[in-house]
Amino acid sequence: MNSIKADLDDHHLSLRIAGRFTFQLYKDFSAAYKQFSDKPTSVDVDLGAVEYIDSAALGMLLSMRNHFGTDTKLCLSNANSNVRKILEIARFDKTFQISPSP
Amino acid sequence: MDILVVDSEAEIRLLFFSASDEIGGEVYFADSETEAFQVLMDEESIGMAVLAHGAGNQDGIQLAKKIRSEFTQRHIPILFLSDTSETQVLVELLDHGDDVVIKPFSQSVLLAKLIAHRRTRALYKQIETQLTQLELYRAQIDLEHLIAADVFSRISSKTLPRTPGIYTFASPFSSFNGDLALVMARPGEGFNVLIADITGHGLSAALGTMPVAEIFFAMTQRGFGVNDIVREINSVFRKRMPDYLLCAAVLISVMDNGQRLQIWSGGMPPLLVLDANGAIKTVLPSAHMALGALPNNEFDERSEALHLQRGDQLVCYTDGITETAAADGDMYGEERLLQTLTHSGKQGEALIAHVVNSLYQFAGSELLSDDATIFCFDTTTYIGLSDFDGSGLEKTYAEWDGFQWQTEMTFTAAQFKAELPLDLILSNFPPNPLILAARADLSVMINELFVNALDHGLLGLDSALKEADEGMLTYYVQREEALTQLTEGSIKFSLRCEINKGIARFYLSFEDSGPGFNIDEVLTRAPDETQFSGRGLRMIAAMCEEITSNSAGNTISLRYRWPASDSA
Repeated sequence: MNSIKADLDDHHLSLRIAGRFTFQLYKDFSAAYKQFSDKPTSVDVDLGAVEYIDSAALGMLLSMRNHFGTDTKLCLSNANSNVRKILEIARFDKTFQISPSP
Repeated sequence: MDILVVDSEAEIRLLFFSASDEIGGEVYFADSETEAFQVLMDEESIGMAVLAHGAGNQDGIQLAKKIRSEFTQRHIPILFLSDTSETQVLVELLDHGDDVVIKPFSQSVLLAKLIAHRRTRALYKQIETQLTQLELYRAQIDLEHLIAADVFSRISSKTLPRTPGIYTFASPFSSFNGDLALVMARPGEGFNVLIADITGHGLSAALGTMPVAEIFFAMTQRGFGVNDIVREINSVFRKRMPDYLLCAAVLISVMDNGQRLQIWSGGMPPLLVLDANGAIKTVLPSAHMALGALPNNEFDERSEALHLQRGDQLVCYTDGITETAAADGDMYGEERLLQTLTHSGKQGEALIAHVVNSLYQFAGSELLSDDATIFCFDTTTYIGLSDFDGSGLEKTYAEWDGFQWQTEMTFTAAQFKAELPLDLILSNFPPNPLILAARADLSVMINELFVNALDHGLLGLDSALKEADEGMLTYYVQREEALTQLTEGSIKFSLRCEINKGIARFYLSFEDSGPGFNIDEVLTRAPDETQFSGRGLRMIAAMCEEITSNSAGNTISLRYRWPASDSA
């Protein structure tokens, strides 16, 4: 029942992930952001429905950053306090915009 | 109607014999008690016994008594043919039989009497049939109620028992009433709560609760939030249930230390938020129609975020509360409920007890209407995450001092090929509020250590692979391949918890049957946020008090405390 939704709208890519964000989503997640041929200028990953995140998911987010390059703005939004704690331990605030900001 | 005639007078026999066409049945004659009994036993169709009473040895009363005591299961009206018209005799005859005809009598009088008795008998037969049917129906309904109650108790057995900060009351019921109040801890932080009121009672309502509860538990366990769960319930409810069955429901995710609630409410009475002084702070009317009302494309799963402050309480109830009726038919109503709830100086469990008492007083009876459910979320007694300040919870903590628990599990190749064991491990956690509060961090640590033991200990994968271009892909392709080829090896997990002075300490260890690797090298490596490898171990090292490995490098142990800081 894990799910990823992706929408590209005027160079803005929105990804919404629900359930557990772990390595089991690896294929689905990379397929979701690689499916559009237009390169987005900004990407928002809505983590509002993510209950749990593991280190592999952190790696997947880094992979996505490498894929789009540094000129695409990346935002991780709506993480719950639990997920947010992991993002902070991993110092993801250095390479992603975390919203609402910590 | 067949009849039995016990009279030895030939004249009488002839009279009955010639009237048998009008009587509309067979006429059997008997001379003695033995013969009479034989006829009654052989012919179940006998609907009346005509007994002579009087001169000679024709003691009809004696025979009547014997028939009554012998054939208790059959309704056989008795008509006496009496020799005398003496009042005393007649009274005695009517005492033992149903009617009397005094000899001599005319055939037409006898016929009229027999026909009247036939009518009564037909009525009796009809009532008897209906009674049997009613009894059958009642047995069926009783069985259905038993099934419904059983189904319901199975459904709700997964719900958490008393959890600090989360309180529910459901009126005791004789048959299942269609209200559900379910609580389950989410794999990460917090709880999901479902308060639902399904239309109907008994078996039909119990049927409706099945998909609702199943989806609620399964999706909560897999980490889904309110929006996804309500959408799924709505879709399945529509698919499986008849369209006149609806499920009014409130689904609540308790998040962020209980300071944020994500709420979806459909077809339910408004939710109420009380502030620390017991005043109504917010009234949240249902924003949606009941589950099952709208097709998927019209269904709106959007939920509202409700931010709570310390001391706030959220109250949710089903309409059975406000519809509780007094003896004169007056309803309890929203106004009385609000009066009872506000400024009561009570919190959580005590607040609910206060409302329930008031309901019983109002109803003036031992029983409430059978579908009254009320729920309260109390921020003051709720136990959140480790970075929560915990003040005011000392009492709750003290209750658990001295608590010890440990578990050990060994996973073999066949098991972890199927899926990660996190759910299995988490489902074994005891419903201790401190352990539940710590599970957010615990699940991260368990998962990382398990993946570590599997990937590096047993599968021998090299994290450095992840650093190359498309390295993650290579890594996971290799991982999948290695996992399919894996036939032996095991991972042993053990967890011990001790609670003392409000602090829960967890000792976790993972031992794999592999050759071991150097954990210190990973941990002392200069942290680099952009590096892919070693992230998991460094992440959990930051969460726990101590992390160590044995010299062989195939066992990792760690010590973790909750709350993380001394502020509690």
